[in-house]
Amino acid sequence: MLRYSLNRLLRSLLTLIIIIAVVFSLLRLMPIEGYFDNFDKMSPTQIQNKLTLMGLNDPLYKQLGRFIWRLIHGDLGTSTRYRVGVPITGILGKKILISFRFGILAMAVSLPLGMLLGVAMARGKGKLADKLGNAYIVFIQAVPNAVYFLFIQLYGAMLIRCSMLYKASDLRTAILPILSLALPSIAGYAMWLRRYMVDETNKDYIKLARAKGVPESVIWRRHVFRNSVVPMVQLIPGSILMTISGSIYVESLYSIPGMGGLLVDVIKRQDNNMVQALVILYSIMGILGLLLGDILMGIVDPRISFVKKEGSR
Amino acid sequence: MKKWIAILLSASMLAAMLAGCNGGGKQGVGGSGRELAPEQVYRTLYSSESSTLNYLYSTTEVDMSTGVNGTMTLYSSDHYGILQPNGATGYEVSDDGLTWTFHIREGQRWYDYQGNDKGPVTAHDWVAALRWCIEAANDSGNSDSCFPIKNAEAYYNQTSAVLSGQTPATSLTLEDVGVRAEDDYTLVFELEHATPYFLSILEFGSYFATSQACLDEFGERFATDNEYMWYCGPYIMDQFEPQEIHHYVKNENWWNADHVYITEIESKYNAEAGTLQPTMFLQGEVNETGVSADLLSEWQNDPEKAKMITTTRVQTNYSYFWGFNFEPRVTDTDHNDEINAKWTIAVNNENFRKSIFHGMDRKRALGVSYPTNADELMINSLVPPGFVAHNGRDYTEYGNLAALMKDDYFDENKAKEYRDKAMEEMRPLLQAKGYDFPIEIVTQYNGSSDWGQECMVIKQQLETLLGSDYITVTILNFGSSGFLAGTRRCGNYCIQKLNGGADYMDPETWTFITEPGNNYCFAYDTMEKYEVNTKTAETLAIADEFFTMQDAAKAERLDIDRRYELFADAEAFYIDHAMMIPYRCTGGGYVATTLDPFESPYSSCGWTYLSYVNQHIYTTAMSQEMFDARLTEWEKERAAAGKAAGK
Repeated sequence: MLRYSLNRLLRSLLTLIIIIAVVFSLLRLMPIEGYFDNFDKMSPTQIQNKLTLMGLNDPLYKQLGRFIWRLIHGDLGTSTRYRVGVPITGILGKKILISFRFGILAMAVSLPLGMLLGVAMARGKGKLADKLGNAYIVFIQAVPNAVYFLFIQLYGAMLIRCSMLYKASDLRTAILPILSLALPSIAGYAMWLRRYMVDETNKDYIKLARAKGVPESVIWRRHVFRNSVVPMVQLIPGSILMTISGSIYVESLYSIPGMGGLLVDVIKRQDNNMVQALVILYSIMGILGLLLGDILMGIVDPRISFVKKEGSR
Repeated sequence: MKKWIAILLSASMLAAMLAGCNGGGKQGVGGSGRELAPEQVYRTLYSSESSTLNYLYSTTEVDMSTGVNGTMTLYSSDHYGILQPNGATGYEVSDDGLTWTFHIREGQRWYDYQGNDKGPVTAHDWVAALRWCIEAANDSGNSDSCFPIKNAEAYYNQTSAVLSGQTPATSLTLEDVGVRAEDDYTLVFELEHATPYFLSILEFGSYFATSQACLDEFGERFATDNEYMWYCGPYIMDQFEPQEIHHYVKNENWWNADHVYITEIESKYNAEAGTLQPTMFLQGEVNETGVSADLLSEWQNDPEKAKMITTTRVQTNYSYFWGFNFEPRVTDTDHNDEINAKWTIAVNNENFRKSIFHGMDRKRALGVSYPTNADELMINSLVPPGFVAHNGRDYTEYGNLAALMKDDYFDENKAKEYRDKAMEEMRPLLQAKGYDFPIEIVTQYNGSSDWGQECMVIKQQLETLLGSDYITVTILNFGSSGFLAGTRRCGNYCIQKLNGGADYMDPETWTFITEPGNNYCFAYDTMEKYEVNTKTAETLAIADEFFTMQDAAKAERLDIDRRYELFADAEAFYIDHAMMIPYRCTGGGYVATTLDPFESPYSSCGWTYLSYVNQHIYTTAMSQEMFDARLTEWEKERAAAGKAAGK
């Protein structure tokens, strides 16, 4: 497994370098007006000064080389437009922590609830629990979340008598954003687990177990659930890691100063250093998430192996 | 003499502030008859985060609130728009207008974000600010506001050359730049040439007091956070969590602290502020909210909510106009060449321009966003009425401009007359190139629904009036991303709603829109983009005469009446030839507020309007009736204050 992991990591590194080079080059194609707030009133000298200070007057290969050299030394640089002159690590450090905290709490709510709902729906297929669960899933999938997020914020705040906006000093104000984050995930987990479980119950080995008189509870717990959860397990590390990217809409609605929408914001502001840092961060998270998911799947399901067995093709 | 005037003005300002505070004598009631809120804490939402708190560096509104409320300018606008002593107690100007000596207010102190004393405020603090701004390596957006100072521009160019690795043409030192502290409380500016509007430039970031000790202590991190700057103004920013909260507390030691009534300002970030703020206002969580056009009718139809909305005061800091593009480079259709070729012929025909000029019903178009007050916002000049006055006479009352201010330009008969003439003159030119009428007029907007509707109104109205066999208007939604770069600046339009803002209190501040080299309408002799000049000799003759008139106005620096007259004549000449269509000034939107907007500083340039000095919070919202009454009262008081101040 170690060799497999190292191999995957090396290939991921290559992918990362290609991503950085492409994004870095594309950002340099942006119109220069975007680097200025007062472009119309600036003299050519003022414009050139800023471009020089941002290093944008150097040839592309020099800029890329300088960026990678700094990166190797752990320096992501400073923000040039989002928060001028502030080290990027400082900006991201605070935000990541906030989004991660909300994301992980939402996951702690949604994962068990989603799984419970999925199991209940699969076990009661076609019955009331399944119908109610399906109605919930269809509602969540069909109604744009902006609608029910606003509804939850407006009426939820009145119900629990707290501010509509998040305040770190008032824990009650964290309830509604966590609930908003959890609702779509609950539907997602429930839908997929139900589907995998229903698929599993139709397989021959389950029919055989039933024919042999294995108790239903054992069939569901030991066979159906355990085999159905394997494909979901693969997604869990990625989901945990990607909680740091935050939620654009929920964070915006509740004034949560997390990562949600940050990438869009810095692209709009043409803060090249911030965009590069975020692309690297998200790429690493994506790559790591996939790798950890595969490893975890191998651990959960002993049938999965990372080495070629004799006779395998 | 000027010192005495300054003292009298200070006294009148204090008297006016006290009157505004007590609303005619009754304790705890404001000028609008509302009761003062027991807790003077201002709560609001903001949706756009500051990229820096560095007021010396930034030129954007969202970044400047900390500078305005946390430090001091030498002079700042009061609630009538009259410049009043702030960090200075008075000034003298030499007879040639070149040397300005300011007397700095004694007893002022610097404080850090926790309120710890960091030493006295002295004249050296203004020297430090200006020197920081003209150092090219600091990349200050405010450097150009320092250029009236002797050698400031030369020093900036010198440091720019060094920055780009070139050999500088000069070898100036900071001592050669015309700003010095003669002693701790005497500040002297020497100017390149007489600058009648110099006092109004002092409201820009480069003239905000900044301690050199503070700059030295924090270096590159200066004002990147509230902890990395010092405060000497009416408020201290004690909390700054980006995309979370900006919190200010009153600086009890500020010289005019008696007129700072709001004791705390709590500004919370919310990207959806526009959506949430109306609800939060109704729930009492914020003190102010904009009421967008789509919410307006709902609020107006609700008896309770209707009492809470009012229009806002018209502002003169921005001017909007419809620009004719004299160098068309439309790229967003499937027949760009035809559009550009036909428009080039059309825009160079004065009768064609005049048919649009008189055919556009601006009031109807404005009614989309301003259903009840389009009249107040519509303007007939580029420099908005009320922007600047001299001895009580408004700039728009000078010269030939005065005659243009009387009536709406919209005139159906005139428009049709000009259309008929234009068709006769243009048809042979179009046919010679293998084209014919109608002229397709491409106009772009940035995705804003109000702007889109405005364009639609203009399209329908112009096509109906002038006939779709004469013109067709094509509306393109460019989207907000890179809008100006992709439309106006590269000439990707035929006519478009454009705007520009004022930097100082003088008609010259608007000339960047029309002067040679501008990227608004390209009405000057250039062949940068085309092999053939898209301007005809007739158009260039109009442009050249206008530039000569404008240059003559700029050269008149001492006789203000004459200066205004020359500028007004030049502007009238430009409008008379339909080189642009003036449209509207700013303000006029709808709000619900528990403040009194007439207590806040009023200024058409600089940043003082972001100040919270002299404002109160009331228990109830201001109604339209209250607003109208206060506006009438304020206009009278302002005219009197302007006369007294010689404006």
